[in-house]
Amino acid sequence: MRRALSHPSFMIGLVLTGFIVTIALLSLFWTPHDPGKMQILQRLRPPSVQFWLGTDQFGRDIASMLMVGARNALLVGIVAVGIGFVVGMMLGVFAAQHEGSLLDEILMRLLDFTFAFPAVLSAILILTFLGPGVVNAVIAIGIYSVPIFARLARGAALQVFSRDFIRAARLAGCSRLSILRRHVLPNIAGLMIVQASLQFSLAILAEAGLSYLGIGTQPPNPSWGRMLFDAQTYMARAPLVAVFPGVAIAMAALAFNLLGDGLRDLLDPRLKER
Amino acid sequence: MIHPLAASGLVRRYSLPRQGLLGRRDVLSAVRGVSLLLEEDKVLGIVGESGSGKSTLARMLVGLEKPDEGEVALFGTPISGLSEADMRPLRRHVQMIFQDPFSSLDPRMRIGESVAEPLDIAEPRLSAAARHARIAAMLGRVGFDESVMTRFPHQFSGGQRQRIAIARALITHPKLIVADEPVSALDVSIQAQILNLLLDLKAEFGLSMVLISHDLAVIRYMSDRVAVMREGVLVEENETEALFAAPREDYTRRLIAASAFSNEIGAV
Amino acid sequence: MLAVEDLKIRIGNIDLLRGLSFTLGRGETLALVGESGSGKSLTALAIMGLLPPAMQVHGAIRLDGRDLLALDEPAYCALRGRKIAMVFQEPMTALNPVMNVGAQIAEVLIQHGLLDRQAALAEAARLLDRVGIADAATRLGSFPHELSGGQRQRVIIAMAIACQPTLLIADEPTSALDATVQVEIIELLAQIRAESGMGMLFITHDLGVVNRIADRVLVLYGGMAMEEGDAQDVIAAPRHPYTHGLIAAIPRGNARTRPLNPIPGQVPGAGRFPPGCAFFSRCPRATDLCRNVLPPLSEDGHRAWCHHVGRKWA
Repeated sequence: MRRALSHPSFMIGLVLTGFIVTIALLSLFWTPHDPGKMQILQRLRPPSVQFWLGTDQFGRDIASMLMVGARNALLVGIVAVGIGFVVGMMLGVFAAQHEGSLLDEILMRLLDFTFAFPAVLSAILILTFLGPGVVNAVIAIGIYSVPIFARLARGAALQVFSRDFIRAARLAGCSRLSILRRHVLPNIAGLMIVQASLQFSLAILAEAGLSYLGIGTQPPNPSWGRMLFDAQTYMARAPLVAVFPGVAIAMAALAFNLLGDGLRDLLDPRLKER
Repeated sequence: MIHPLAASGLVRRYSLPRQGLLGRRDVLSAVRGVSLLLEEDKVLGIVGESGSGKSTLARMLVGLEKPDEGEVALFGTPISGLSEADMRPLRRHVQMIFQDPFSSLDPRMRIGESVAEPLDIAEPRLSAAARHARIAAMLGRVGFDESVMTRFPHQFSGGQRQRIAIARALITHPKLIVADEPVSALDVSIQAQILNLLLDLKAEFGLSMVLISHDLAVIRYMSDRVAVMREGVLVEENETEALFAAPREDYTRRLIAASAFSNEIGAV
Repeated sequence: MLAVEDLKIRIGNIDLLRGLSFTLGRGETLALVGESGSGKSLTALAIMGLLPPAMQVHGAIRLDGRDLLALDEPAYCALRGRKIAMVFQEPMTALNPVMNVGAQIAEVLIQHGLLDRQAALAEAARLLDRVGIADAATRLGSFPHELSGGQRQRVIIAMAIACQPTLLIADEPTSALDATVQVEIIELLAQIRAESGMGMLFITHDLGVVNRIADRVLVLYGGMAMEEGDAQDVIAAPRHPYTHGLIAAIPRGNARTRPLNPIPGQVPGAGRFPPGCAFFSRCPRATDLCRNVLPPLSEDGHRAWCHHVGRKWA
């Protein structure tokens, strides 16, 4: 615990993440203005007491849009990374259990294939089949996260399987499922959670990218990526309209990245017993 | 008389990774036809160097791996054809002690839970109080106060972890123990402690034991009978002192000569 | 040739080695015996200048009069491999897996500017032959993974003696090897030492090996010296309770006929030793004096650091 408090990356990551999560939760109950309300007379206003971060080209309050955008980004992140984590972990542990068999080989090659495509490209490809929209974006991002988690889970599970306490558990009479639940999962959880945090950061970037391209979150739902796209046309007149969503994206990605890095540092040496 | 352990014609082969994309898969024969018999209340020592196949043999003897050929019978029951579910009732009578004290305990589980694992499966209906008492008693028997039950493995040294592993192995009062290099990873002064502990427990619980080691001095100290393993086969087997007094095989003689270091040191 | 004077090693505020002194002459083999936590490996690393920077070292290590602890890194580099060489325990990890063994041996010679590439390779072949590897010339091109554990250790020995060092440190060189191979490697080391006249510091936990190869032995426990003297004398008639206990803990014969009386308890963790004798917590003869006061030297020749030196043990 003490180490956690004195680790700079972790603390900064934690604080930033906490800030974003708080804002997102807050947006469920209250935003300064209705983010969908267009007040054309107030378009492209700079930050003021009334509009804390100014307005966009439709007169919508940027601060409110950012807050709801945070909520959307987090939702996408949680569900997409959640899909990747659960499916990836199951596939990875399954592959580890059947290590060396044809099944393992086929599975790993399929995952390699998925992994070989650049992230956003594969998301676009998937969305071409599924059609645009936030739900499909979540699925697409989830799908390309699977290989990363699967790889990690397989490697970590293989290491755990080679330890004698697994043999001892089998000698005690534990069923395979029971061994997975009691011994394997707790021992790979640390690594998987670190990866989840890092993937979250990538998921946020991916969602922003897809929404920017118009195939992610659809208007009128606020999305940081979409806000960036809309702001392009007005860069000369009101640059802040682009800066704020950009900063939000960068900050969120950084927050989860630092959190993941910090967690990795904190968990790693303690995982080594000797 | 029912032998606690009887093995005949055990063979185990492994396929090595393919050479290139379409190359052959070489086959490594780790165990090439081993038969042995363990008498009740006796210690059979199996001595072998690296690559002799002794660890593979150990795993087959306790049913962790199935032999490709041959049969293992525990207390008269052949186990090779049994499913996991059928094996379960037998598990409480056969346990194993592993070589690496840093790998044999789950780092995420408390000591009490690790030691309880075989007990919970063998006697699931024990009351919480009775369960606690059994665990505490066994830990006490290997030299620990019951306060260690809530601690984690990384707080203990190699020798201490090995004692905890012994407690776990004996919690269900098995009749047969297979010990695979139980002291090799420990300091010399601790080795002696563990060996004496094993002998005491063997006498107290009426155990039969198979002891596997590369250390001939340890084997000689602990065993009633000795079998010498080399490249997957047993090349010689005899009662301990008979083997040391008059080894028949050249390999056995070389092994004895190599470990003569210890024997050269006179008693003080 | 080598004189270690009052060597102390600390990390943070924990003492790992508490003032060790010994000498080693040319042509002599000194065995450093101890279990985990004794400080034997640290001593070897200190002599080689390979301790992690976090550790503070005090005292002096004199090689032919020169204090090694006062050297800067470039000067130390010039010494390593040339005047002092080390053989480690794990043959698997001590060799570079992507270089063939001939190149690795030759590298030592070339690095120290002794020979050019051509001559170095020729010398490497001669060295491989010297350490008992058959078909030395063909073997030059072999990679480490193509060799057995014993052969790899021989290659490492070849690298160590390539520049004809004055001091060879061997840290548990045979512990990872099979018993039959161990004998061969130890005989090889003994031969090489006898031929070359270099001094050898042999670190081990195995008293049988000590008996076989060492002229003198120094027994360590908990970062302190316990006993020192002629190897055969110390083993036949130990003066220190720890040495006595170590010898008594070696299994001999059968349990029924010769039961063991092991040393009770275990080595305290680093930093948990009393200010006096490190062996206090497990010694059958311990008294309050032992806990509080460092034991004195008994006599020259066969020395034991103990308040209660004597020949009879209960």
